[in-house]
This record gives sequence, C-alpha cells and structure tokens, in this order.
Amino acid sequence: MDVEIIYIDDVLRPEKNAFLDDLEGTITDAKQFDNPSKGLDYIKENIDKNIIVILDWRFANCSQQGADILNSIYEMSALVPVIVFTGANIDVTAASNMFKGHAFSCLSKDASTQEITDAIEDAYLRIQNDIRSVMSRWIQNLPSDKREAPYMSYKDKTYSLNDLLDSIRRQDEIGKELTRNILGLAAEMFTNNLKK
Amino acid sequence: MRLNAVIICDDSESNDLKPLFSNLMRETSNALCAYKDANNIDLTLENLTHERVDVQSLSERLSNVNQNDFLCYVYSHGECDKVQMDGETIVSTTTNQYLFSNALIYTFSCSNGSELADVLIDNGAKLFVGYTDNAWFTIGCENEYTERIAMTFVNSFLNGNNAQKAFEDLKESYNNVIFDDSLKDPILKGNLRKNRDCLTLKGDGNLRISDVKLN
Repeated sequence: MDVEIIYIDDVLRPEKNAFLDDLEGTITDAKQFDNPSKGLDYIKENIDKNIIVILDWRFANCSQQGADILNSIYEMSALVPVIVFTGANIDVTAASNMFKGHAFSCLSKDASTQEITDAIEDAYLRIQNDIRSVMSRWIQNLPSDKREAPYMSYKDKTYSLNDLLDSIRRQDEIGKELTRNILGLAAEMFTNNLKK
Repeated sequence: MRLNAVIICDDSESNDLKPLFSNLMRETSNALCAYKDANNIDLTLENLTHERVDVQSLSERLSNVNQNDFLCYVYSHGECDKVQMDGETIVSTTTNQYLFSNALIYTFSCSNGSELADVLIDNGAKLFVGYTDNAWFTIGCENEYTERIAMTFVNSFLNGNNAQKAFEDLKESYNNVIFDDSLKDPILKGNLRKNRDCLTLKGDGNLRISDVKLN
C-alpha cells in the first residue's frame, strides 16, 4: 500500500505498537509521535502524501485531546482517514465527538494485529476510491506551473488548481461544489455509456 | 432599415474576467457587422463598457433604442437579481428593469437568469438567455473554451435559427467540450457541465433575427 501511517499517542509502548512492525514492507513508512502538535505539524508538511492517522483518544498532561486533534486534522484535510485507537471506555458523548470529527473508525487497544491491519486496509481503500482523493491526486500529478496559474473564476474570485486542491481537501463550499460537479459528470458519462 | 444592438461589457481593470468579457464584446461586434454586411442593413451598435455607463447613463442610452426591437448582449458579473458593472449594480429587479422592453437579451453572466430574467420579461423583454446559477469561467489558455461556447448562441441566432434552436446549439457546444475525449481535464468538464445545466431561455423561443422589427 502506498500509504504512510502516522501514529499519535502520548504513551508509545513498543509492545503495543507491534502492529507497525508487522506492517513493515506493506506500507511506505510509519511515524510515531507522543507530542500531538508535532504529529499535526508532520501531517501538515506531508499533506500531499497518502496518510492514515492512528490516534489515541485520551492524552494525559496535554491541552489537546483526541477530539481536538481529530478536528485539527479534519480542518487540514477531510481526506485523511483517522482511526481512533483507544483503551478508554467510550461513552455516548465521546462517540458523538468522534463521529462529528469524522473519525474513520475506532479500535480498542486490545485489537489484534489482524483487526488493526484490516482497519488500515479499509482506510486505504477509502483513500484510493473516494472521488475527492481521486480529484486531489489528479491535481497533484500536474506540473507545478499549471497548478499555480489562474485556472477558473467562480463567484467573482479566481482560483488556481492549487486553490481548488486546498478546497477539495477542506471540503469548503467550493470543494463541495467541485465534488458535486465531478460526480454529476461521472454519472452522466456512465449512463450515457449504458445507453449505447 | 436599421438594426439596433447594445453590448453591456464589464471591461474594468479590476475585473479578472476582463479578457474574457472584452473578447466576447469584440467577437459579438464582429458577428453583428458581418450580419449587417450580409443583409445590407444599417446597424447601430453601442458598446457600453464600464467607462461609458452607470445606472443613470444606461437609462439614457437604452431609452434611445427600446421603442423598437433591439438586441442586447450582457457580458458582466451578475447575481440572481442584478447585473453589475465594476462592482456597481446597473440593472436589478428594481433598477432600470423597465428599460429592456422590446429587447432580445443574451447574457454571459452569473445567476440573473432567475429573478432578473423574470422581471425583465414581465417588463416587456421578448427573450432572455442566460444562467440561473453561478457559472464557472475558464481563465488563461483555457479561455478559448468559454469564448467558443458563449459565441455559439450569438452566431447561431444571427445565422437565422430561432432562439430555441440557437439555445440547443449552445447546449451542444457545451457537450462538445464536456464529452471531448481528447480533453483530459475532468474538473473543467465537471464545471462546464454545471454551467450547461443552469442555462435558461425565457420569453419567445420562436423568435428569429428576421422577426426583429427594424426601425
């Protein structure tokens, strides 16, 4: 899988992270951060890569908790799947915060390596098949001068392809409009081909 | 016999779409001149750009032509209830809306195909072709797509087709780009498809250029 795993947990225990060793060879890289801010900085600097985040939920001695980190990641990009990885008892409020923060899935720290691997593979499939990720990759593969040049105008504002990439990642109003337009195009092309 | 035509074009320097709008004004002017020559008629063409028109002066200019049929092209920014020129509203559902009686209006402008079009038709405009939602405009080297598409209606109508046929030709022009296999830009195609789907024609689709009463 062409994907990098970012593991953010305030207590990094090698015996609990054995799944990362088991994934070696099947993923591009794995990075571990016990400082959430550094983890977020790394994600921001590497946002062009395929990334899956495995995120602890409760952080001792830290102003940021899992819900905050989850929201920060979503604000950077809605396309980064976050697997919440926790040993805590999750109540309804916490579960609600996870869904609102757009967590991809949630795993217990007692989960087996196979269960963790399955969750990562599911997240990777999402990266591969989500139309927004496909759109992002298409833009990222273009030459930088084409991405930086003025591209289209909408509602009196001019956008470059880099601007649109940012909007697709953040799923703001423009990002959602672009996604709708592409899905509409795909649906029409698909049904036109069915009629032939 | 004289044909009157007006082109409202926002060519202000602050407008990112100045190249596009200016090119459309130029190409429309050329098409009208070619029609005039081919049909041996006189043409009065007013290009109303941002330096030449505001709310007041637009009223004065259109009052000179709206006693008879006239062609009106709008290449400017818009919203559902207005046309804007360099940030100023020059036409809205409550401003200058009465000036377009006898007008056959073609716009390349966002959204004013909804409320504004209805009000202009209610106030005597014979035809309105435009967009009911915000449209995406190509910039730079892809300008050619937007210009080529936008001019389809102008040319088809002046070639003698009725407004409905010219409108269908406009849609087909969008489809020719959207379904062009050699064009590998899915985002551009998706956005142009959105444009196509918010096209609207209001008023009398049976009108032809030969129906336009000359003064």
